[in-house]
Amino acid sequence: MLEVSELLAIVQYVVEKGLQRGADEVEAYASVSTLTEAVAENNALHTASKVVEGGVGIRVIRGGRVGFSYTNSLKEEDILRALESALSIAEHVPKDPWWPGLPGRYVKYPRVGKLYSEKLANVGIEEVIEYVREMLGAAASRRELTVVYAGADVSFGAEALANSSGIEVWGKGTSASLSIEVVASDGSSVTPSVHCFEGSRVEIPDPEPLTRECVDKALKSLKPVRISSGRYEVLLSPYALDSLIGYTLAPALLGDNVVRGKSPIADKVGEVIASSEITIIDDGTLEGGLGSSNFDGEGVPTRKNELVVKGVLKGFVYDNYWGRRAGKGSTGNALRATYSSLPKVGFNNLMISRGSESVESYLGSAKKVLLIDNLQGAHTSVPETGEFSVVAAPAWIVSKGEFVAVKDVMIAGNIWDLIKSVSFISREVKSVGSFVAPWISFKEVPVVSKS
Amino acid sequence: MVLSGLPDTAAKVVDWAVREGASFAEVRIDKYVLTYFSVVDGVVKDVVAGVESGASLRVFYRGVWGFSSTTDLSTEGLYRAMNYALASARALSAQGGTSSVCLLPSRDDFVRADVKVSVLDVPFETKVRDALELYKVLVSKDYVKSVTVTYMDGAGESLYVSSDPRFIRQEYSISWLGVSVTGREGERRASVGEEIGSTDGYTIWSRWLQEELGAALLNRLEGQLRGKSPTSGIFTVVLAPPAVGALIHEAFGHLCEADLAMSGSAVKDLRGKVIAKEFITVVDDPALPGGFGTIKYDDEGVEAKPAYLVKDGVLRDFMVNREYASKLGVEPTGNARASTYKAPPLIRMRNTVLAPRDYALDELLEGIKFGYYLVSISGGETNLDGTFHLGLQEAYEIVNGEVGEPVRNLSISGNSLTILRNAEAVGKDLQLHYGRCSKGQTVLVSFGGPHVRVTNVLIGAGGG
Repeated sequence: MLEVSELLAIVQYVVEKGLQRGADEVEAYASVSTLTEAVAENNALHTASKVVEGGVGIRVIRGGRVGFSYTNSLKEEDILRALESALSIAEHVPKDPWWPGLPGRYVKYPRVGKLYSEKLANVGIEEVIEYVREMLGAAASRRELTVVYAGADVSFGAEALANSSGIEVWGKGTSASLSIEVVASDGSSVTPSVHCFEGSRVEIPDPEPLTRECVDKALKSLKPVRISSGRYEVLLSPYALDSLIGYTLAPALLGDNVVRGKSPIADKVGEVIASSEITIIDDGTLEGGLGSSNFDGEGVPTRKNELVVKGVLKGFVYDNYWGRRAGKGSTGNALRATYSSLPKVGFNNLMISRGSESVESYLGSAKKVLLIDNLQGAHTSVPETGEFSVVAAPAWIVSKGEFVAVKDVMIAGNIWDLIKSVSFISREVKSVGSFVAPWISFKEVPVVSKS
Repeated sequence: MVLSGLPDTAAKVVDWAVREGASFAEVRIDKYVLTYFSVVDGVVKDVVAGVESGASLRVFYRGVWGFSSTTDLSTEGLYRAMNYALASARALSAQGGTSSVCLLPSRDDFVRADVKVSVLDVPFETKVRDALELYKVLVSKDYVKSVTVTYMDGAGESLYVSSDPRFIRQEYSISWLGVSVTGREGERRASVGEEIGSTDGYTIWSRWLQEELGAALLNRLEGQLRGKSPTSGIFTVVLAPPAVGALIHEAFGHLCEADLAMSGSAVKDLRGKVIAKEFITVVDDPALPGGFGTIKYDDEGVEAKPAYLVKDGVLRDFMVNREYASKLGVEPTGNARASTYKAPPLIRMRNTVLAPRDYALDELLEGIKFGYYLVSISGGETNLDGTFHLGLQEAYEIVNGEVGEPVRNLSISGNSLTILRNAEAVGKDLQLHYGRCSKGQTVLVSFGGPHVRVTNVLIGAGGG
């Protein structure tokens, strides 16, 4: 495995070569990664894998024309070939009249804690397998349960980025996650699948509470009843919020959608767009955050961006291109999935602030709440308008703390109405990947039942 | 493209894995040239040119699988990756696994792509100009606020070497284009899209004219901007071929993927049972000409054969890979597909269609006092228990047996088995459509069918 300093030497070399070959601007990104993973399917251990890979992505600009190419090798000859290919594209592609230049040097970078663990970086497959075995054992002990999927993965990554405007950054990180999907069956009916996820940057999460949560939700989903259509108070879990917000509210906060007229709140900065309890930030500097890093995919320092504060819209997230097109500059939100793709505007850690009461206390006193743990079909929402119509599964009617599973339930509405009708925000928060949210309930939500 | 020397090296690495105790081993090597770009509101962006090559290595060892992939195709690189796969499988098999694998007779084959115009022979400027032409058609209307056209093509060759032993080389030359249009009129906003593709090189623009594709999308967008909101409730609907294909793929096909079926999907115990009327046949057919799922061998080197999910109303085949063919004791169907060499193949659909029968569209509409004509689905998903939810991006009212006004933001939901049982008449016009399917990995698929009439469908409105 290469050292980070070697990756830095590679990207510096590419920038120098690119300028020599006549490019106006050059950006090089190199990364190496190791992924160690074990999965079980249908109640049995199934596949273990280890993949080591790396590569270099190169962006060059000539007269406002942008070309990109990459190689999945770290050999000099392959890297130089990729550079030539990027240069050749920059000759043939039409000029981008909006090209603002690559980001320039930044003096100060955050030093975000808990993003790397030496132990995770050197984890063996045997240890990763042990976690899957534990999840499987705990869930498969009940006859009515099927573990559709249980997986543990640990990844290590090192990266370096340099550009011709003076940016030179490098770093390494680790992360680990567990996920499990369970269905329960009592002979007469099968529950919808129940998913649970837990991730960390510095350790493999504890499988015991995760498995218990998942098993508990699956068993509680048996013997569902139908409910009548009407308006209900609806409590959405962080999983359900991740799905709904991800396809409705979140796209409206992305700078490219704002500039392109695809965000319905593009002209609403300073206005009230949500209940006063709602605060949403994007924080790339969250200690141990699954989406945290010291710099983004273009080498720009990450930071904490206030998006909605106490219901008032404060701003949006941008990468360098769309930020400069909007006249604002980058907010440190260029995300680069791999060396083989260009950076795109995205969230680092999209976070909704917590409230003060616990979920248990809220459900214990509420007369009748539709608790929704997950949603299907949120990707059919219309981000341009915020309209959604989604299936709730699994879901329960909770009255004074008593749970009754429900089936064939849909909720429909508009996200911009929904977030103005908040009735409760929990003090517990959960990370679903890089989305961090509490449980939130909403008043008078239209519920359609196939009864 | 030449994979010179690689078949011999791959064979040696496979032999070595077997000597180390694997009961089955395979190496799949992919080499391809990729072009990608998007046209974002008229500006050509995100242009990527790549030459990719890499290998997927997999072993079956005492009831479990080990996997690795590498981009280092040297002899040493392939041995190292095979060793990762073997070591992983050994660690996992410590207590023995319960899986199995179907071994096949030896085979040696070379499948050439039937290429009309190689994507490698078309200059980059031509591809950009063609995509810009579609953009120009779309921005001709004032209500169009934003257009993204995304183009991708790939030409290459894959080499499959297994311990059966099998040596299979397959060529391909594929182009794909996706377009998304956002519009605004007053306070109404909407977005619609379409995907097209071809498997015989750069032929998309001889099969779809920019003018026609653009006009169809504008009509679709107008429907979403100016249409009525649907009435929530239970109605009789007529589905058009693209909606039938997406519904069959999304709401039923996934349930019949053997891995999902056996983990408890709604069809788990229904093989051999009558689940629909006798005129209903659903087939995942790798032999339909020109589909994204038209293949001779799958990514496990298995001959691709049609899987009759429903034959004359009876649930018949599950789609299987080598593993599930062995577990279920059935003939392999060749449904194992991988997105790239970086991932092990999963059970995936190919070209999934509802077989045509004999009704004309006006006969299907006849007698419906009020209902909905559902043309195109924007997306959706299905849970294992068969509950599904699909959003429509083009739909109309049916009033007194005729297609009426457009309806915006409509969704349908229910249970797949119920909707299949409620299909009461099938049209005669088969169409094939192109798209992508995600199941952790994204692969290109085709889907389709004729027009179909279905009773008792739950219609939802997206609010607003």
